[in-house]
Amino acid sequence: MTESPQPTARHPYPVDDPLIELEGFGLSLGGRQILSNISFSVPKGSITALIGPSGSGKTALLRSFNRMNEWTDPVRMDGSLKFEGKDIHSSGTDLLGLRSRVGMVFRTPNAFSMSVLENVAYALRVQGKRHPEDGAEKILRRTGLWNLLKDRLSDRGDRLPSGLQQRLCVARALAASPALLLLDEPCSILDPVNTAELEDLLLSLGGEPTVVIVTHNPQQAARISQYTAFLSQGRLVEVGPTERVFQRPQRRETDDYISGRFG
Amino acid sequence: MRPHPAEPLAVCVTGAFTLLVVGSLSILCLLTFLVLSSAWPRDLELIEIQGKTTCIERLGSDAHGQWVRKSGQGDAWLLPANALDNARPTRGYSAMLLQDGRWFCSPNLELRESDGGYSSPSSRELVESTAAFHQDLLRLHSNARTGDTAAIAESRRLHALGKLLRIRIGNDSSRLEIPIQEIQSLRPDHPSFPEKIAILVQTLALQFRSSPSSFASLTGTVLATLLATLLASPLAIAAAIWLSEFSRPGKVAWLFRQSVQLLAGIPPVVFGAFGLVVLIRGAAPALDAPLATPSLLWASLTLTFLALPTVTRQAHIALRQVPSHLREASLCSGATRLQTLRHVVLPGARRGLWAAILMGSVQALAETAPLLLTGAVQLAGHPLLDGSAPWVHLGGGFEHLGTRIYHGIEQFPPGPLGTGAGSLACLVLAASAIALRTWAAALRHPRNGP
Repeated sequence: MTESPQPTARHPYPVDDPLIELEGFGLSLGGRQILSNISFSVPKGSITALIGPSGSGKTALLRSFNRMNEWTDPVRMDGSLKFEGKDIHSSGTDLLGLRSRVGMVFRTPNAFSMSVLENVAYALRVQGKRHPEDGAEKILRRTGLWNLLKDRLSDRGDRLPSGLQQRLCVARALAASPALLLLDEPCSILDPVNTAELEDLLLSLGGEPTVVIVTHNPQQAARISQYTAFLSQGRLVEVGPTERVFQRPQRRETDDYISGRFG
Repeated sequence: MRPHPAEPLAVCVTGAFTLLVVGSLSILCLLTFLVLSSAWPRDLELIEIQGKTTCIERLGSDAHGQWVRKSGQGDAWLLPANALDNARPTRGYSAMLLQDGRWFCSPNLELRESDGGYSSPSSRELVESTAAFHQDLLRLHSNARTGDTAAIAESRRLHALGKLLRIRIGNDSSRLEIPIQEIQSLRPDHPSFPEKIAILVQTLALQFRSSPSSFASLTGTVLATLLATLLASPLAIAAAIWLSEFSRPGKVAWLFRQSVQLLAGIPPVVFGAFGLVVLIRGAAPALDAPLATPSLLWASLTLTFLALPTVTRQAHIALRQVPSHLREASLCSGATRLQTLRHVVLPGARRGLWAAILMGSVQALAETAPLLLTGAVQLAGHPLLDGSAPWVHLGGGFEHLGTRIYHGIEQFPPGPLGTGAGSLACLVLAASAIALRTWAAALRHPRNGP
């Protein structure tokens, strides 16, 4: 266990069909270096968890996938980040197009102050799709929320209890059939029951779309993900199939973190 | 254990707060007292004139009035300008003397035309002309006793003159002569308490219609406030939207925010000077009278400038209170910034934006100083609203509650009617400002979510 990055850390597992490819990716926000030299791939159809202590840059990495960092701060980047084979940071990127291919769920349940149905249909409506209500019903059925919400479709979405509301936010993010779903610590304010329900929902998606989830809870990563990336202080310490990362961590930092000795 | 020494800051804060509460309560009490005391039927007389109940006031509250009473010539009473017809104010004031139970009228005093409106003769002029008239009467009386036939004839002529109330009505100045016998006093000599209350209510109601008409000043105030709010709100909200949603943090946005702060810090009277010197005198050559003079239009525009920074700031706060992750959630759904604004930000900030508009209207409502320079006059002499197109008349001077307070208490013949109407205007203005503010606060801090 040496401290220098091992050559095997670059492509530690074979990826035939990557959705996202990072190559020496670095990011600075508002002049502060957040991430540096990150290289790994997210396989299509997988659930990948980003874990790491606070301030390790996992949220910034997640927000790089749909370029939401530049919404809040001036951004500078090095290396490349390819989504569906195209470098999304190149000047010709269609930002609206990218964001309609990538759904996102946030830390706090944040349904809009409109009806449940309108919330789910929102993406379809703003993207100019036909019959957004039908698409919304389809996605509610797929996420198992139809039976829970079919009598409350005209209730205000932002007044639902937080567990249900967060699942509604997942449905909202899935409505436009994105290729990638990003979740930024989606369970941070949920109780264990609601957390389990949300995890069931993610598992029931069956790889359509690909999911990347940031979590501060290593056990959650172990429960739901096929791949886990461990970040610390802006560096990618270790990445690989979840089972291997948790059972045979190759770096002491990883071992310390997942066994609860720091972070 | 020694008790904790009182925290000095806590003492100061509590003291300041108590002072504020006590101060505002006592101001309200004082205003109420002023209205009630002026309306209390001591210096007021209810009379019926040509079938219409009206309220006259004793010219006795100042030094001149005291002198009239002391000289034994009886009480002088002032007939208000709308005694006969609200829509057609009498263009003249008549003081009436009650001497030995008999009414006499002093010669009519014309209202003087002044820029855009009318100003009333001062109480001094009224009293002096009334006193001179009656001194003439007395002199002729004593001369008549000596058998001077010319004096007897003159005395009879003056008596006849004093027995007729002569007023001019409306803009065509048609003359009206009312025999004094037709004027009847409605007030009982020794009113019981319920009667006093009834008179109080009646006089309060009459005061609201007394001259210069409170109704006209109410219309003027509402129109000026409404116009200013209507003009300022879209501009200010657009500026706040740009500042909050579209501007990049940088020098331009910083400069813009600073100038809004600066505008908010300028004393209102400077806005008035700006309105008069820049707006009115600048635009006058291009416009016809009455728009080229200080008028409702220019006063509203000046108030617009005054309300702009308030609405901008409040609207900016309201927009910033929409959580930024809601905007992100919308952008992540593939929405454009404009769609995000329309579907997420504006609905989320709706109540705060209404509160901002209300705060702007409070700002426009509560200012008087700029109006004195840009069009508010004591007596406008023409209605702002009437049945002829364009129904709302923006040109020419107008009456405003704020200036009514100024004229009513400060300049109008000192007496219960002026003071009463002034303090009533105080109450109406204070109450509506407080009501609007409370409404805005209720919008901003709803008890159970929106």
